[in-house]
Amino acid sequence: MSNYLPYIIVGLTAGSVYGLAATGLVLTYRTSGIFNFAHGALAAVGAFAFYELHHQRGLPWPVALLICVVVVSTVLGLALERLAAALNGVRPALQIVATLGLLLVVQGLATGFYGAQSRFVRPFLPTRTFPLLGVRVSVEQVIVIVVSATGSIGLAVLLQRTRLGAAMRGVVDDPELMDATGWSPTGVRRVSWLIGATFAVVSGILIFPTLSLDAVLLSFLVVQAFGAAAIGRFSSLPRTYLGGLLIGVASSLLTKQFSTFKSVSWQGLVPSIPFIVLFAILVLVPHRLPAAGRGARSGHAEGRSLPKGARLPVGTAVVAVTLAIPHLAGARLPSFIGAAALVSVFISMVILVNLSGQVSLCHAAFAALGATTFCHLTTGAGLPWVVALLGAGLVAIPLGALVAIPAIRLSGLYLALATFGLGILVERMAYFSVFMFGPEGTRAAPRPNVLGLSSDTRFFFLAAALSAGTWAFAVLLFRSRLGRLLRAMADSPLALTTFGLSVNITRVLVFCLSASIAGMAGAVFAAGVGSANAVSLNPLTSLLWLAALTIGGTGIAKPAIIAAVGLAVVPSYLPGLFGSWGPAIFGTAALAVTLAGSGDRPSLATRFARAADRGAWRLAASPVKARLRPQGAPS
Amino acid sequence: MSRGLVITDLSVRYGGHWALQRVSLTAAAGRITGLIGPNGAGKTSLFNACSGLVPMAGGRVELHGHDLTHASAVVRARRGLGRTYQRMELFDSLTVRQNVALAHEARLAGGNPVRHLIPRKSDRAEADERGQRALVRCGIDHLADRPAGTLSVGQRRLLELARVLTTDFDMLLLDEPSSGLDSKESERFGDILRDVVTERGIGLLLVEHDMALVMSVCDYIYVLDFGKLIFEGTPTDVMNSPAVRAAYLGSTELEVA
Repeated sequence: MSNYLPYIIVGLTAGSVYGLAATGLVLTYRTSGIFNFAHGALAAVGAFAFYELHHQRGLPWPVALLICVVVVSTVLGLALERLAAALNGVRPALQIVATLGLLLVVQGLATGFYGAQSRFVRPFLPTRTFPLLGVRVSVEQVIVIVVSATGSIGLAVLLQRTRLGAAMRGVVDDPELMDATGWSPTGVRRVSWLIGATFAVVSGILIFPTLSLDAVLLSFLVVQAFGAAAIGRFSSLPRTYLGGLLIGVASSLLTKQFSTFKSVSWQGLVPSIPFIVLFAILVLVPHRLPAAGRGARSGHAEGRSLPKGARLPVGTAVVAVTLAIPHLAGARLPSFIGAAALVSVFISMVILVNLSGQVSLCHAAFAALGATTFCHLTTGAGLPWVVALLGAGLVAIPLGALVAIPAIRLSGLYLALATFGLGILVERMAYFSVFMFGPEGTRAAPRPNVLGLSSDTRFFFLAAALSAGTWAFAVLLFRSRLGRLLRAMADSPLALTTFGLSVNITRVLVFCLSASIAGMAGAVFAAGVGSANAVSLNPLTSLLWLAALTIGGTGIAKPAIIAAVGLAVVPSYLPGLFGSWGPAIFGTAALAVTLAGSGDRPSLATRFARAADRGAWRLAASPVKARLRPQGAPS
Repeated sequence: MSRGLVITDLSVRYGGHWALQRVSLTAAAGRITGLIGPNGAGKTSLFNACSGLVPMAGGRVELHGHDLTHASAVVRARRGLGRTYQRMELFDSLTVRQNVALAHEARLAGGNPVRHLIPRKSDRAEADERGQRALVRCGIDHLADRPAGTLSVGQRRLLELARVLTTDFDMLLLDEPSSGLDSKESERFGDILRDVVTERGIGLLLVEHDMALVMSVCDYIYVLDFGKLIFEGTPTDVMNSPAVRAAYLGSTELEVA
């Protein structure tokens, strides 16, 4: 037992921070309906601000802490409340992309300012140790545990015992009714975002001395928070906090258990624990979760095509530009090859996201599986290029079916979380195994050695032709029976079920198709670069892809081409800018698009008129309250 | 083997609340059977349990002699049990024509992944033709190219009926199909229902608040209150039953009829 005790203490310390972060996440989700994927990014902002003030500028740590908690949290909390209000009524997929965009912005800015290396800093809390139950416990650990517990328990008491708490619980159930009782829902939400941001900032500051100062690592603190939130079923704060502790302790104990194992896969298991928990809870007990999002319809089918007259000129222009590219691109041709391959990746996502109204945050895993299989089949087994390409598409199908399991039971936010979890699981446990990228994380991917297709120019045409084929397939699919069924399913899966359609088969089918195309596209991409690379297909790539696709808008070819050119070509022309700021730029663009887009949202003028209406109503209804709050607090 | 829907001792429970307690009824083929009762009596719960959307706490559901008690919603549909929804589950982003055609195509695709992707050659024409016939029968063929989301409530009710008539269901559960129709429309609605039953010999189980419609089209009526069957009989019996009047006390619906 005494062997395990130190690990339990370490686990409790980390788990406390996870719990604190997770309660903040659940609080804001429940009061605003917006699930903040950037919650860990807030922790990163807190940590970087503290690092700047304390470690760089030399302020004493209590002062730095105070500034972070008061100033940074307030600014972040208020900004997020505005963002969440603007996202209210936007379809779930866009809400997800918006906070993912924010996550990318923070990561991008941190990398831009501080570089990509993680920095190890000296702890600012006292680290001297004292014996407790036969193990040495540091003061730092005690402080972390006490601060987190105080925050979480304090919040629980606030919610249960005070009128503000009652209002915060009420705003979840019926904001309109809340409005009528005199509590401003906006005010209540503002408080909850302030608390949520403060918890995130504090957890970031508490954990970064042990974790290292690294924007990606800190942003993925949200990962542990996801697991804890799932244990709390996205609603109970005390259970969420306990969930954080549980995940901390379980990870710590398993680290001890697996430290003797050589296999990469087993070591990858430990950081995946939150996701295994998340995935298991989402899939096994979906009926115990609160309804995701407040929009009734989760799906939203889109497949707008150009007006008939414009098709020929636009099509001709696209073909002409494609033919001209090898002559114009010069040394940048490889990035155009990448873009040509990426178009297929994005079309595979269009099929899933735009046509069937589902979300996937693990498309990089499909592409990675396809790419590595392709490498094995060509350089390993010596199969012909085309056969290997088809093999890449086939191998991705079972993974697509696996991802479709959560899609059967979940939609919108929970589906996004489950696929995100699965993507990270695949990366941690399989990427570096011999079946995929191998321990070095890279494998050679050849180009075909017939018809001179291995030259850059010819391979570019091959990749472009393959993407054109993918596009034609997608167009046919949109018009096929499956396409019509998918559009109907976005409106009413219930009606289709009672007409005798097994909608689960429809869902699995579209995931398998999408995964298969992504797998083949991943193979073409790898062949274009010359190798399949684990780093370029990490789970963050999936997020970046979804953000880029959203920037591209509606339709089939248009969003795919815009996203591919934006991700692969534009950075090669602006290497200085995109080298360090790329994710931040894509994140900002995704945020802007989600805020500007969505036709079903009332225009600014309408919203202003409504707010004025409400204000007028308040003035008329209650002279006392009107005097207290003359602007009528537009929400 | 009797044709029709036979429900025996059906119970449905939500947590500690019994929505239905040991309800038995029969909706024979070739007849229109009414199911009435005040709001919250359990009518929609009965439909949901019959079509396999909510679990049954007890009882049996049989269609044409086949036991469907443990069958999934999809299997029940394939056995010939169709339904409409009180809140109307139309495919709003599709046109009226696509709505009706898809109902048939959904059945054809069923659980077969190949048929999802590659329809049989004749399927499309058949679905269009059946859809067109149903639209004409319901008198909304002039709306065929309008998106379903743009229709009025009355037109949407008719579309939902047309959609369920496109397929070859032989037992239909209609959940308040005439709410939102004016009295002239609902009179025509009643004519459509009667014609369909006579022509195809299918059975209808009708939940309806419009008493004039219920009394004029139904051959037999069941009355639910608080999850229990309180009366059954011909329209005349129902009109004269003190128990039914008591259940409806405070509402004037029966007087209107």
